[in-house]
Amino acid sequence: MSVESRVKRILVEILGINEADMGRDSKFVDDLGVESLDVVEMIAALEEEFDIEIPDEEAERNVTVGQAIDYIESKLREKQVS
Amino acid sequence: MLVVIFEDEAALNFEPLALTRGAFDLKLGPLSFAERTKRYMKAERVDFLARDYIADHIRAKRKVKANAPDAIDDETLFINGLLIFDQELQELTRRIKPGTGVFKADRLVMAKFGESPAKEAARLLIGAPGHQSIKSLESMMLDRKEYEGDALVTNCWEIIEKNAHQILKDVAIMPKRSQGKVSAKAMVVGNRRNLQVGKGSEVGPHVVLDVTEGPIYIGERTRVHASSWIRGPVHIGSGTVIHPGSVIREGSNIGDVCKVGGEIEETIVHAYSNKQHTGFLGHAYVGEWVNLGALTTNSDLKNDYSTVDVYVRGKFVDSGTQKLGSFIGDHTKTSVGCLLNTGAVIGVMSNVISSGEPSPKFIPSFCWYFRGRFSKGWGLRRMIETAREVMRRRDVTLTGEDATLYQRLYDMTEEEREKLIKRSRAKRREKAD
Repeated sequence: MSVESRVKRILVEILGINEADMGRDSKFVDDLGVESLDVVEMIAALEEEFDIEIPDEEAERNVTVGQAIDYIESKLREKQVS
Repeated sequence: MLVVIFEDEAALNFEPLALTRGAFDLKLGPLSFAERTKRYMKAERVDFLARDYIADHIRAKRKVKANAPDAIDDETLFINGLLIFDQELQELTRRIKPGTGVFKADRLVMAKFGESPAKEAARLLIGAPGHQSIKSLESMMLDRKEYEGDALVTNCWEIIEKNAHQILKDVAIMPKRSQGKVSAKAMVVGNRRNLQVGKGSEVGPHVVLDVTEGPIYIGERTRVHASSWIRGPVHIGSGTVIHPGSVIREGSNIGDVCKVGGEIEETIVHAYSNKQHTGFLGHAYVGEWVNLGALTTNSDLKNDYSTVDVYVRGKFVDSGTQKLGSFIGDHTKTSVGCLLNTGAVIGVMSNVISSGEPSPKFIPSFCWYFRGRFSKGWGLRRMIETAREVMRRRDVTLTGEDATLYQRLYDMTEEEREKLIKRSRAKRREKAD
């Protein structure tokens, strides 16, 4: 399964939204109605799924679904290199 | 004679409460260990020897001498910061000669030295020393005496066990309070002399104050609202609010500027903490600036009546006691409806969000526990921002020294926290597979 599918599956599980309503440009807060507790759970779930660390300041920079997917892909590339 | 209060290695048994304060600043009864010692010793100046980061913090906050052996300028009495001081011990300090150490097994209870050896002794007592450093100190002594009493505390549950009795003892040495107002419609059960209500405090109508088994001592500017039931021995600090219909049972010891509701029994609450709503807290110890959400309840008795295990210094230890509630570090928050497990230990600045299940028995400092998951939550920066806002609401400023303390603690507790977060992730991955 691609990174994009895995990220979207987690968002669907946590946020209880349809995958069809979620595009790469969807903003977590403005478009998907993500609340503060959802963010914490989402970060924890993504760290769990991909076995990566997401520092708070980096998490805050990812405001859209697409940015989150790109960010995780880059973290996974870094992980492979190291 | 100079009095120096020191921490020994047992201070570490009191984490997370002792992560943010010297062990001598823990409350047992209305007074902290240090306050009580100072009162009995009638000492104007008391110096402290502690873990380095704690010494830095109390030096900055309280303008006292901490970890400053070179400041010793007189014959010095070193007193263990976990000693429940009393008149008998005060008399013992007068009887011992310079060069004498008083021991309880391998723990140093107190020691007296002349000025010059006292400086050397102080160096050995910095940093919550263990057995080896105490042994080195013993080699400097001319005489060793054994202490037969039980006033030297080793574990956090002993504080809970001894608290009710200590309220009785401490109230006797605290200032008498009689200027507060007690509604004519309140009822005092027992000898009215066992009730003390401080200046500016008010006890509302239909409050029952039962002093048959012990005193009720209320500080200044505290409000006990209507229809509450309080059974001594109980101590309530100054500037505190007890909400209508509260049940404050024997052995409760509530600090200054707290807001309390629901039911509390045999529990110590440090200053500026809130447990505003319905919910039970029993045989628990709550630090400063804690906020417990409505209906937060702790278990203090297991259903099989077996003794309660408590997380102490990296492992679970049998407390040997059947009744034990939670130990909650400073600035920790619980959500509404949180169920805290028997003997649960929750760190500093943690966040526990109800999952409907009893909480884990240990939640590390600066950690979120949320829907069965341990996580780092919002991270330290936002945790400190929250703490700053919480303190501002009570007209207290979170200082640079406070922020430094939390940063240090965050680093110190990182390994333990990360270990648990990783284990939690791995478990969930296994489940998902």
